[in-house]
Amino acid sequence: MLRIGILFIFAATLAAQEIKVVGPDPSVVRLGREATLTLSIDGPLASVALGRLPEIDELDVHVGAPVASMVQAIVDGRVVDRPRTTWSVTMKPLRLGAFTIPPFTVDLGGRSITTEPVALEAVRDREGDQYAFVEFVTPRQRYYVHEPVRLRVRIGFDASFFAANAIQLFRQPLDVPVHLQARWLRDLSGAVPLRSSTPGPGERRRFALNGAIVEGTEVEERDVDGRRFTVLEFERAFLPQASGELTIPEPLLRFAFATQFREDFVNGRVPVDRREAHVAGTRVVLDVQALPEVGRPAGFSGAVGAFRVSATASPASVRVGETVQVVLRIVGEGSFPALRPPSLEGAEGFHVLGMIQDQAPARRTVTYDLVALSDEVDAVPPIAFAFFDPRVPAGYRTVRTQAIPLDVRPLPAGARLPVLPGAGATHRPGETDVFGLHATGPADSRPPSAAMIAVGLLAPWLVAGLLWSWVRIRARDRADPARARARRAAARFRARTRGPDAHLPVELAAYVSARLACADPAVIAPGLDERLTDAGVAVELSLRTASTLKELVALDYGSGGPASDAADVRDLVEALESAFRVLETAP
Amino acid sequence: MIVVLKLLLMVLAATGTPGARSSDDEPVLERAARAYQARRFVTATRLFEEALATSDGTAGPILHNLGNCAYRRGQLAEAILWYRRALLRVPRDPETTFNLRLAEQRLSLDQPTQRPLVDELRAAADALTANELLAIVVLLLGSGLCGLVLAPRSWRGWRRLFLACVLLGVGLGVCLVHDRSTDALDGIVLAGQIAVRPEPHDGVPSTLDLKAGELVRVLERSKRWLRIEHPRGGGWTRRTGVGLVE
Repeated sequence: MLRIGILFIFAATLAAQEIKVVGPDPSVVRLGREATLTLSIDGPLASVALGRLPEIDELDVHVGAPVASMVQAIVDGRVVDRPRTTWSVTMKPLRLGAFTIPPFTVDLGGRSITTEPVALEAVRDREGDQYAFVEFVTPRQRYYVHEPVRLRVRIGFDASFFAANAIQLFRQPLDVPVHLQARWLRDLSGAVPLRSSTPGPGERRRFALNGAIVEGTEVEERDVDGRRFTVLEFERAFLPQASGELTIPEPLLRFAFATQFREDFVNGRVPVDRREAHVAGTRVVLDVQALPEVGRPAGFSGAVGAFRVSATASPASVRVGETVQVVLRIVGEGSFPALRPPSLEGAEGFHVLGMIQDQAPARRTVTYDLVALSDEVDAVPPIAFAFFDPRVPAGYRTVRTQAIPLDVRPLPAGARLPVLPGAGATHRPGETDVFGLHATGPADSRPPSAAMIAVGLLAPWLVAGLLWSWVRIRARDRADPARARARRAAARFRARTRGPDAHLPVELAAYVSARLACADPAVIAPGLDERLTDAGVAVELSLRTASTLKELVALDYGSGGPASDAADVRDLVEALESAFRVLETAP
Repeated sequence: MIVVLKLLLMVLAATGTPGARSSDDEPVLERAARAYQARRFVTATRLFEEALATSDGTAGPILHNLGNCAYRRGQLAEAILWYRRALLRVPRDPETTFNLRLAEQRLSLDQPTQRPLVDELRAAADALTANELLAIVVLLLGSGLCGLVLAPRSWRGWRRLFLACVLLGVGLGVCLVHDRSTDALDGIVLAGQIAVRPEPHDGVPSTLDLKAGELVRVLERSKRWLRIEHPRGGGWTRRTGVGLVE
């Protein structure tokens, strides 16, 4: 009983567990400074675990090792010790503005407990802004997909202040002791970085960029609010990969300074009041447009920019089957990484053995090995290169090389063109190559006409309907043989009296008996006319039938008067049949 | 060797088969084949197109050959379009089908290995020509209805089977009539990449990008725009970027 009670209290305690959150402290932090958040939960260190830290853009989040402690609580009037685990989370904003930190999760004995979201705001470091700035310069705001975006980053610093007060940030001294933090230079969402171009003319100064030391070029001296700033500049280029907005986050410039120094015998000038400052730039949002579909040439190379092409071929004279080397040079300014060289696969009269590319930042050299296949060829045809030119008026342009005259001599008499690599020997139709030409074949398959479809869809229903009628009739006949006999009587009579040897009295008797549903001999008796009348046949027709049958029977037995004509008997049966049909359909 | 035999057959067919091709086409086809063998694919394309314009009910082989010319010129999306057009005329021709698959492979357009059952059924139905589909519908309806009429009520299993045949036949019949009544047809993306937008206007941001060679269903056509459907989405795209399989 006691155990159950303890278990109940433990379960109730577990259910009531919650994470205690203190902070962030401060909730409004200067850019580049840290704020601390404390998370604590009642539970031994061994049974709690902090879940995965939330990932927030431009916010560095670090968590320290968990700290175990004991707290005292009063339970039922008694003081008890409880284990508690605490984490200290430091958060460092790398941009200005508000951050919302998603809930933290703590696993407590297999149960997840989450905190509420936490807010943090990063504000400008006014002190740092007095001595330095960082900014972006882009020629335009609107670009096309795959058009290189050249971004110049400028760092301005108060040279006289830095000379007197700046402190080196790292063990390795820098010309300008600043640290520019711009992670997007390595990994910018929606764009790929291009190789850096050579810095322009001017004095070069070293500073820290992310985790490396780079050089910037001094480009100008600028007066801002009565202070004179020296401006360093460096350039980075990107290739946008998709249309839409391309956001380049604000860069963060870090430096340290002091206002008081003391002279140390060993270390020299030592700062007394070391302070760190962070200066943020302004983010840039570029509009990246998709390349227009209108006017896009079929052989579009994918390159965006301005290009020129030229080509040479050597040797100038070959025999059929010999190789000509054609060198295509593409020069200009644009997206060389996205460039697909023109294919010469369809070059008239040539077989392409292969192609080699030589890539440079502003040049692409493509060497084609071509084999002349025919002595009818007299030139290497112009090579077309299609690209998109973003300059106004933007549009697709196709430039062509000049045709290069080529002297192709025929093969010697009796010689045959050898099997070329990549043709026949290595590519087999049906395996790695397409099947060849088709000769004339069967007539084209034509779709069925509307009438044919209608017939096709209705015919089964019609056939099934007819089948259903037949099945029903057959079933009815099986259920009532006399009715079937009566229905078939006329047909039987007609069939049997078709020939000249027909035995009329027997057949007439058979017909009438079938219709009256009795045995054949039963109709050769007095009172037939009355029975027919009773069955619904008109009196006159009944009398005529009885008398005709009587005459025929009498004649058959060698007595009686003149014989009835076969045609008259048939007419009589038809009249009777009509009468019976009428009777059958009558309600 | 096979190619030479085919060429011989072509020449024989052109000279000796009465009614197979009008006499004007004979030299054109012969010249086109010779240009193809000499790897003069642009010339061959022009000549085959000339022959296609005058072909009389036997365009399938010429469309196949145009696909080969485009393939040799490296214009794979165009080759896919020609092959698909050829397969409309000569359904399931093994060589054209292989060439089509090879061109699709070279454009990295391999079909997914696992598809939902509905897609599999749809693909199976699409593989049939309209004539074959009609024959299957007639067969299903005929056998199902006749079976239902003739089978005794005690044959429950058989009656269910016949009923299923009728229902399947009716379903396929509806598909057949629907396909005929709508002017929807297939299309092949010819441009390197096309943008699909929710509205037929260049200013509307694209919701889907399709690459060359991809197969789309064209649902609606205007003078400059096509409304298309693709497994990954649908919308409007410029007419110039898509070739119609017709």
